[in-house]
Amino acid sequence: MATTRQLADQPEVGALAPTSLGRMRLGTTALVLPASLFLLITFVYPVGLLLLRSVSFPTWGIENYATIFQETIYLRVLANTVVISGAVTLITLLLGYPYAYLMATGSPLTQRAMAFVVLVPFWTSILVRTYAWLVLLQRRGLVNRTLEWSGLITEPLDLVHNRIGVYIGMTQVLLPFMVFPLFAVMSRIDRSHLQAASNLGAPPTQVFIRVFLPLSLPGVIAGVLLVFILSLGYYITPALLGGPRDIMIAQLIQEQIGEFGEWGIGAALATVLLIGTVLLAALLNRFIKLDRIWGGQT
Amino acid sequence: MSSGSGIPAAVAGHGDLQIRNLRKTYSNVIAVDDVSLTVHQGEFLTLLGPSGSGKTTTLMMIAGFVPPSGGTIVLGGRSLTVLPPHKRDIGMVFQHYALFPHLTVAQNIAFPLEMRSLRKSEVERRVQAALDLVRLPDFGARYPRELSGGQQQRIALARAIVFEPSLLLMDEPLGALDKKLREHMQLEIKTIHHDLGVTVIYVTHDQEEALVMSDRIAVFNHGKIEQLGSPSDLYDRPATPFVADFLGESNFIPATVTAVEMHGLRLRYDRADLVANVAPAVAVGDNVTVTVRPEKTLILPVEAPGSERIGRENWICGTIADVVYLGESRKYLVHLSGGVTLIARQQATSIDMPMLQPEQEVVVGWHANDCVVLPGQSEAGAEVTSAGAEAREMTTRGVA
Repeated sequence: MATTRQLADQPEVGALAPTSLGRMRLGTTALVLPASLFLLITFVYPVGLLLLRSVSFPTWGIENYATIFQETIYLRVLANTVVISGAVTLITLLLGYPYAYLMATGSPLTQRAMAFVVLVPFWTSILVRTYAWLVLLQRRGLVNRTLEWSGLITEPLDLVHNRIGVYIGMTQVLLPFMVFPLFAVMSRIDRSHLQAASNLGAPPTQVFIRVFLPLSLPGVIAGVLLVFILSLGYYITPALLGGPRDIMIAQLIQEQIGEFGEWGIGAALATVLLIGTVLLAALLNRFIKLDRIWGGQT
Repeated sequence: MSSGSGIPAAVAGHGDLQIRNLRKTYSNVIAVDDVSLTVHQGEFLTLLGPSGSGKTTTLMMIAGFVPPSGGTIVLGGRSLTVLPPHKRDIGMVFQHYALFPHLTVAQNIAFPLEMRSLRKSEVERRVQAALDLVRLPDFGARYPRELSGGQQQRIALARAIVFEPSLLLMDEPLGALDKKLREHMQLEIKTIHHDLGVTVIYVTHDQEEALVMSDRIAVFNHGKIEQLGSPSDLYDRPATPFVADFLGESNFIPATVTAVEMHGLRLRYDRADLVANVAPAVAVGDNVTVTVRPEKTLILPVEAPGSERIGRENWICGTIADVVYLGESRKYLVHLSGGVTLIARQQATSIDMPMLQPEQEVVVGWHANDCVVLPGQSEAGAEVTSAGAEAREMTTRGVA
């Protein structure tokens, strides 16, 4: 509001600004042009063509959308996708929050060691990691053998080719995307706020609940949205570690197009996924700005 | 100026803070080295010193955020040494206020009261009283980021005293404010201290602030207390060259004791004979340092009639090297024949007062009462001068 009034009060600035601003915009445009053209040709055009097929294949109309929102198989896969993504998000939050907390409150050495541990799996391909889980989690795999040997179980557990396998695999892959936004926000929380709370009479649990937790919320929101969005489009992990009832939307798209040649249905599913993701990304953008407001001033 | 007035120094009040042999070492660095100190109930005590002198570490040990390596802290007969911070019941104003950004002003001030499980109506009443006290009665619903630096400072103060602690710690609370506002807040904090009767321990590196606000000042240097006393004790009777230089400006003149008399000393610097009305433990032939404040000196042209020199026992000849115009006063740098440069300050009592010029031959004089003789000399003076300059520079930066 102050800015608008300022501009209205000084028309001469407004008269001067367009020239210099215009020149600057021209320069900026020239700089982003190559990358924009590249994206346009290799991404926007083919994706646009694909999305167009959702209303043009096999005939023009919205019948593809009608199909996916009416037939139980498609609805069940959409529900699966949301439930699995939500569960993975919750699990990564429950595991990631204490981890990020220890990391943010630890010594610089602890911080580096813990960041390293989270990052190491990043350097291995998802495919390799997923097959590794397959080996570990199968009926005669290391996990079951160990549990049997220790006497905790007598029959091997079904840890793979079902929902549990999907959760384990996806959680491991996505944990860093929860830990790092949390750590980024937590490590910027001013220690003097925690000292102040303690000085004012708050025992450690109250310091955490009343001060640390609310100040870390922007990180929680960023991490939750990031992991949820990434989960929505997951393909390899659920395909290899899940069972027939754990099919997610990305697998369905692949199946429709790759195996049945159903370009229309596949494109419609892709459009639904894209719109859902864009909406969540917009939400994420809003909350990351909120983080800046909280962190900016004290 | 207050000089420990109204403080029953001899009576050990039951609300006294007693610090005994407090130490803090980090691996091989000694941050606080065997500090002992008694702060009387209701007193305003300032810990003054350059950065890294141990004053903030001492404060943090009293607050409970830094565990001491040795020594004891007792407040009102209760040992604080191993008590966690939230059980100490000590108010604290942090350097950057540390107001909770996610809570409103009223919620910030209510925080310590809620931690003490007060009734809701009582919390509301006390929050409003605290807001009234810091003269921001209508700011309860705002968020800290919507306040100016001075307003945040007041809210931090309100939050620190709303639960009526017997001891209030302040860690360079005015460092982030501009000069005018700082001077205003100094008086306001003094008033609140007076009205509430709370004991205050105030940390600053600003010697002027320390002189204005304190009942007593503890000057810290290298983790130890160099001198503890009222502002006038410290300013007029500094015990060490460091104190003389850190509090205000000082001249250091190396001299040799020529005679020890009943009420003072006779000394010699270069070709000048000096007298001082103090008797530290020195003997004839000892090398000492004579310190005298620039504003306690009188500077005259060498040709001035002898009658103008009457009343001051000490006179030294020199040449003006530089003149600094300061508005309310003038500062002259005078080269003495023995190689020392003196600073002489003269109040501009009249616009018509003639200004002395560089290269002019002058005499600088002072009363035997107005100088302090410190044992030893050599580089001590030079060293503290640079330390003092550093501290003053920091103060200036704080303003900017």
